[in-house]
Formats: sequence, C-alpha cells, structure tokens
Amino acid sequence: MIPSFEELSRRSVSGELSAPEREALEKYLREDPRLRAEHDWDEAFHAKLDEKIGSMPAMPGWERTQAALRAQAEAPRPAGILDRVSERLSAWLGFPFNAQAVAAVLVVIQAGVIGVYAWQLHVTDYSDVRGSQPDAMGRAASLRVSFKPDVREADMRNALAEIDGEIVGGPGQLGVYLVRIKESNPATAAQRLRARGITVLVEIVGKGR
Amino acid sequence: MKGLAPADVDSLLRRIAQRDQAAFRTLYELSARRVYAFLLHRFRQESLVEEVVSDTLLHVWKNPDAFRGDSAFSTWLLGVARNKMLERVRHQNARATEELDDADEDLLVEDTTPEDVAAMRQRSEGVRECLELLPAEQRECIHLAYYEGWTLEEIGAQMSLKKETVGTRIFYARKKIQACLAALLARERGQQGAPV
Repeated sequence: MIPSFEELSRRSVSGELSAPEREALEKYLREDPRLRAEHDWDEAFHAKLDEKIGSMPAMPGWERTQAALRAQAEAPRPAGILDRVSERLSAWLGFPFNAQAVAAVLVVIQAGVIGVYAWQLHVTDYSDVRGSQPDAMGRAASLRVSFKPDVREADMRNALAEIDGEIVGGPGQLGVYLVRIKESNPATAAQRLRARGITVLVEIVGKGR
Repeated sequence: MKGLAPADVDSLLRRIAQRDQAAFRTLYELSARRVYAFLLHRFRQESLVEEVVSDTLLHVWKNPDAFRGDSAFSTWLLGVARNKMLERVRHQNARATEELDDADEDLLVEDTTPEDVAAMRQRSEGVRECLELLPAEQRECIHLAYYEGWTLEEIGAQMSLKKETVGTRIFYARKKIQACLAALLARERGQQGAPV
C-alpha cells in the first residue's frame, strides 16, 4: 500500500523513499500544486533542522564517557574464563595450574584439531589462498584517510562512493582509515577526496604512490 | 536518515565486545550527535542531555550484545536514550510526560502558502524559537519524522501511541510552526514600517 502524501513528503526529505514511493510522491506533486507547496515547506524545514543539528557539538559527553571508561579500567577486573578454568583444574588436579598454562594447553589442542582437519581434507593446493590476496592488493592502490571529527557518516559514504573506495582497515588510534580504491589514477582519487573539504589527511599508499 | 549500515554496526559491536576502544570511539562519533539532537529537541534540559548521551553510549560499551538487530541500530539507540532520559527526569520528580489533548488545538487549518515556504527558508532563528514553543511530545514527533525519517508506525511504537495520534500531532505541530513563523515575520514587518 502506498503511504499518504504527508508521510511520503516527510520521508522524502530525509532520504528514505524507495523507488516506487518516490514515483508515487512525484505523481502527487504533479497533480496538485497545493501539495507542491506542502512538500517545499517540508524540504525547507528539514534543511533548517539539518542546519541546526549540524551546529551541535560533534561528540557531546565524550569527556565524561572517557572518565567513566578510565574508572572502569582501574576497577578490579572480574575473573576471566581462563582464570575460572584454571581454578577448577587446580582444585581437580590438586596442584596449581595457572591461566597461562590453560591457554597453552588450549593452543596445543586447537593446533591438533586444525592439523587433523587439514589432513582429512587433503589440502594440498593453496593456489586460491596464495592468489587472492596479492591480486587484490597488487592491482588496487590504497589511501590513508582521516576525516574531520564533525563529518557526517553520509558525507563519508558519498565521498567514498565518488572515488569507488572501500574501507579495508582502521580506524587506528588516530582515526586513520585504509581505503582501497579501484580508480586507475590514485592521485585523482586523492584530489577528489581532498576537494570535498571533509578530510584531515589523504595519503596515497601502495601502487601508484 | 537511518545512519549506520547494518554490516558496519555488526562489525563495530563485535570489536566493542572485544573491548576495542577505537571501535567505541568511532561508534560514538557516528551516533552521539544524533542522540544529543533527539534528546535536546525532546527534553530541552541541556545539562542533563550530555550526561544521558554519555550514559546511552556507555550502555552499548557495557552491553554490546543488547542490540539484537530487530530494528535499525539508530532506532534502538534512540529508544535506549529516551528511556534513560525519562528515568532521570522521573528521578528529579519532574513531569515525565505531557498529556496532550489534540482536540483542544485552536488553529486555523489552512493550506501551506508560498509565503509559509519563504518564511521557513528565511528564518533560521525563528524556526528554532518556534520549535521551542511546541509541547515536548510534538517536538519529539517532529524530530523523529523530519530528521530521522521514521514512519508514523515507528514513531508510534517508540512512544506507545497509535499511528493516527502521531499523524495528528505532526499535523498540528507543523501548523503551529507555520503560524508562529508568520507571526514573527508580521511583527518584524510592523517594526520596520513603524515611524521612528
């Protein structure tokens, strides 16, 4: 069922319409100039809301949150699963069995299980594994990108879509992403990204540097 | 404006479950302003709002598995924020909800005119003032409908209202803003035209 004009108009200005809904809205607007005025008002109102919200702090409450995280990190840590397993083993075996020993035993068991599976599957040809990674990284260049703190997610997505880029790593501690691009000329992609004015850093890495 | 893609949310929450603070910071950067804007429009208590934004995101840090994917992440997050704010407001013995009788609205139901559209485009400050004059629950409906792009059903589910009630509230809120902006403009024109 096609929603009412009012609902279509509101959701249209916040970019939420599917293709059939957009068509239905266009039909309403073509047929009635009064609805066109309603829709224009909705668009103008959404723009004002966007403007107002865009001027709000980018990370409200972050300092308080960091303080809470620090306090949490300093609080006594509850016993982890390895600690609990080692306690049980110690009680069962009658001698101390620390968490590191439990971890080492688990690693040995895991390696054994993987070895058995590999043997069962007769995995002798690793060409797919060898081929995929260098091929993907060899043909495409990458960019190191860091965005300004107040940039909206939608703007980041649009910028990446424009250069046909895909985030393959990050963000690191400094907020730097690794973006793989299909663009044949990475310098052009980097230039386009910088031109949007939403980045702090755009640096070409890999092939094409 | 539904925000983060589900795959990005999953990936961030997985990393947060492994106590990855960089992932938490990214989620905070991408979500906090929206939560803040929503709470400020709804509750207007600026001093509390920042604290509740922090509490809401800390809830995600402590319980990354709490989001089960039954709705969009932003919908769920605004629901958490709303509940936390209501808890705080109740704790302060303030009135947590405002009962509205939409039938009492004394507004002329007129078509939107090109003048209304022009007034909206010209008056940034006026829009803010007029929004402030709306009752809290109308502001909440307006924010969720126009900024978050929620449907009437989604807003109704969030606020425990029928979708028709939500529609009525949005309709009256819109008309009130139009009337308020028209009054502001008329007052300005009167002042400009008055002899000195």
